Amino acid sequence: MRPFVHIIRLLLILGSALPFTTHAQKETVLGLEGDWYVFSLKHFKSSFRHELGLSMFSHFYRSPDQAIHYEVDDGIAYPQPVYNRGFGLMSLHYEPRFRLIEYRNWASLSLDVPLVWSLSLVDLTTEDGFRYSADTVSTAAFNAGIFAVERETGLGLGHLEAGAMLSINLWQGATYENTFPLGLSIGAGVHRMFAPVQMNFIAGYERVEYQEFTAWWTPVSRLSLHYRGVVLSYTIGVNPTLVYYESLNSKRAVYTNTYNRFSLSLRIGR
Amino acid sequence: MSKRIWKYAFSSALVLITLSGCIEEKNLRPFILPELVNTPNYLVESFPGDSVLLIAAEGGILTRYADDRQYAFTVSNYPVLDQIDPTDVEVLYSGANETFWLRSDSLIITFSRERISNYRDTTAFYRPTRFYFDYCLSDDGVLHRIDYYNEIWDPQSGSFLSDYFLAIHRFEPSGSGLWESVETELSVRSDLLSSPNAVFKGDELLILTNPSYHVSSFRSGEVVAEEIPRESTFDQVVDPVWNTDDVIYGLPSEPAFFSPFDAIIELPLVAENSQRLRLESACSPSADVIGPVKVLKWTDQEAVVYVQYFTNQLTTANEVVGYIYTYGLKDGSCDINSVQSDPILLPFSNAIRDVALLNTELYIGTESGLLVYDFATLTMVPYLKNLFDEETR
Repeated sequence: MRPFVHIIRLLLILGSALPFTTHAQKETVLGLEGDWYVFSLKHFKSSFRHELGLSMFSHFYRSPDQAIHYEVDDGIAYPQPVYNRGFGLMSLHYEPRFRLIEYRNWASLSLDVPLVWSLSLVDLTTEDGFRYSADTVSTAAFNAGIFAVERETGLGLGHLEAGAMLSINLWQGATYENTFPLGLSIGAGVHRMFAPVQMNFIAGYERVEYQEFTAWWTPVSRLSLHYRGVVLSYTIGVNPTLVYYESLNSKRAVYTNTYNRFSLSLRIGR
Repeated sequence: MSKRIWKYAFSSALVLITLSGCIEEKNLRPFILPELVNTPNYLVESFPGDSVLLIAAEGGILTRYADDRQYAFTVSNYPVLDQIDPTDVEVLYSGANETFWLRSDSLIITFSRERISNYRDTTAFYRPTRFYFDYCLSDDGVLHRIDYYNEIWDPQSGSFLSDYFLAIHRFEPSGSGLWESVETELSVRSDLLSSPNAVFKGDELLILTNPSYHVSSFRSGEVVAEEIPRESTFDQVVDPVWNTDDVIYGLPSEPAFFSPFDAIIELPLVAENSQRLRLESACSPSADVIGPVKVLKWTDQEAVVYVQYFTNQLTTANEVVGYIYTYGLKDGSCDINSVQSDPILLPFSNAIRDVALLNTELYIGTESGLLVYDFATLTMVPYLKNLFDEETR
C-alpha cells in the first residue's frame, strides 16, 4: 500500500510544479496545437518507447531490515539490524515505457517498466559486517555461550529488479513527435528486488534456507535528463528506515531500505 | 529558454528531495541476557506472593521482578559476590521496598533494582549463644535479628539452670554499627534453650522459642509482650509463616537438599498447641524419593513442597527427577505433580542443586546452569534460551 501513497504524493507535488510551464512557453517552445491523447493499441508505435541502460559501480541497495542479530556482551544482548545489501559492479537495464496520456506533443504521463540485471556482490549482513546465517543455534551451543551463527563468505552474486513507475515526461522523449533536444522525466514507483540471483554454491548456501531474505519491494523515485537519445538517470529509494541501535554501549544508527542508482541509457526508437 | 529549463530542473530536484525525506525511524533496544545463569547455580529462591526470583550462581546474582525486569550483578562487576559462601546463604525479600536481602555468614548484601549494598557484620553478639539466632524482615522491609544477649543464674534457685534473655536487633547501619538493639526481659530457661524463629505481621512480632512470645510493641525501647501458653510438647517452627487465620506454619528443622523434613508444624497462635501434619501419610510418595526438602510456596490453604528424587543413572526422556506436592493445610489433601527430565539438558538428576516455583514454572538450579520446567507444557528448557526466545519473539 505504501508505494501507492508515495505515487499519489509525487503526482500532487508534480502538479504544483506545472505552473512553471506557462502558456507562452508552450507556444514558443513547441508551437503546436494543444490536445490530449490517451494510450491506444491502434497507435502503439507512437505510444511506446524503450531504453537500454548501463550502470557501472554506481548501483547500491539495502533491503529493509530483515532479521536481527544479537551481539551479546557482559550479559547484555544488543540487537542490530540485518539487511540484504548489494553493490552493483555493472548493471544492465531494459525499460519499456508506455505513454498513457499525452498533452500536445511536449508532455506525457508514462508507465515505465524497468527491468534490471546486475552483476553485484550480495550479502546478508549488519552494519559491522556480521554475516548473518539462517542456521539456528542449537540449545547446547546456546548454553555454551554461542548466540549466533556467522557465515564465512558472501551470500551470492547478482540481482534482478522488476519495477513499475509512473513518470511525467517533458519535451524530449515525452511524445513521439517531440524534436526538442532536451528532456526531463520525473517518476515514482516500486521495484521488486531479487537478490542474489546465484547463491554461493561453493559455500553450500541453499536458496530455500534464505528465501525470506532474498525478495522485497522498495519504493523509488527517479529523475532523468534527456539529451536527444541519451538519458542520464538517478534513482533513489524514497522510504528509507533509519534504525537506531546500541552496540557495546555506543549509540549507532544505520539506514536500511535504501536504493541508489546512476545510469546512462540509450533510447531505442523515438 | 535555458533559464526555464533550470527552473524545471530545480523544481524536480526539490521534488526528489521531498520524496527522499520520507524517512521512517526505528529503535532497537538492548535487553539483559544474563549469561551468569549458565554458570553453576547453587541457590534459586522465589517469593511467589511477590512474583520475584533470585538466582545465585557462580557468575553472580540475578534478580527478577514481577514486571519481568531483570538485574544481573556479576562477580566481575561486584567482587564482593565472590565472598558468598554457597553452603550458608539465606535470602529474604520485602515487597515494601523491592529489596532482596542475602546473608552469607557475616556478609549482608541487599539488592534493589540496579543497586547493591554490602555490609560486613562484625558485631560481637553474645558468644555463648552465637549459634542461636534468626533473621526476619519486618513488614516495612527492615532486617531484624533475634538472638540471646545475656544469661543469668540465680544462686537462690537451688538448681543449675539459668535464664537466657532475648534481644531484638533492628538493621540500622550507622557509624557505630549495623544494629539498633532492644534487650528484652523475655527469657528462655537454659534446659529449654532453642534457636529462636521469628515472623512479623504488621507491627507485631512472634518469637517462637520455648516458650514463644507474642511481641506487640518493642520499637520505642519498651517491650510489650505476652507468653503464648503451651498445651502440648514443644516443636521447633523453622521458617515460620503467619497466616490470616492467626495460625503459624513452619518446618520442624532447617530445610536443605538431601536432608528432608517429614512434617509441617501447625501452631495456632491463641494457644500453643502444635500439631505435626505428616506429609507422607497424605501424599504416599514413591519408595525411592529422598523426601520433601523445600517449601516452594505457602498460602493460607496449602503448602507446595519439592520432593527430591534422584538416581545415579543417566536420565532418559520423561524420567521423573522430582515431585511437587501440593498439600492442603486444612483438609490434608495432597496433589502430586512430577517433574520430568530432558536427558540432554539434565543428564544426571543429582545435578539439581536447588529449585523455586513461580507461577506454573519450576526454576531448577543445576551444575550446568538454570533450567525452567513448565508444568503447563511439561517441557524443560534452559532459562537463557527461554528468555532469548521470549525477547526476540
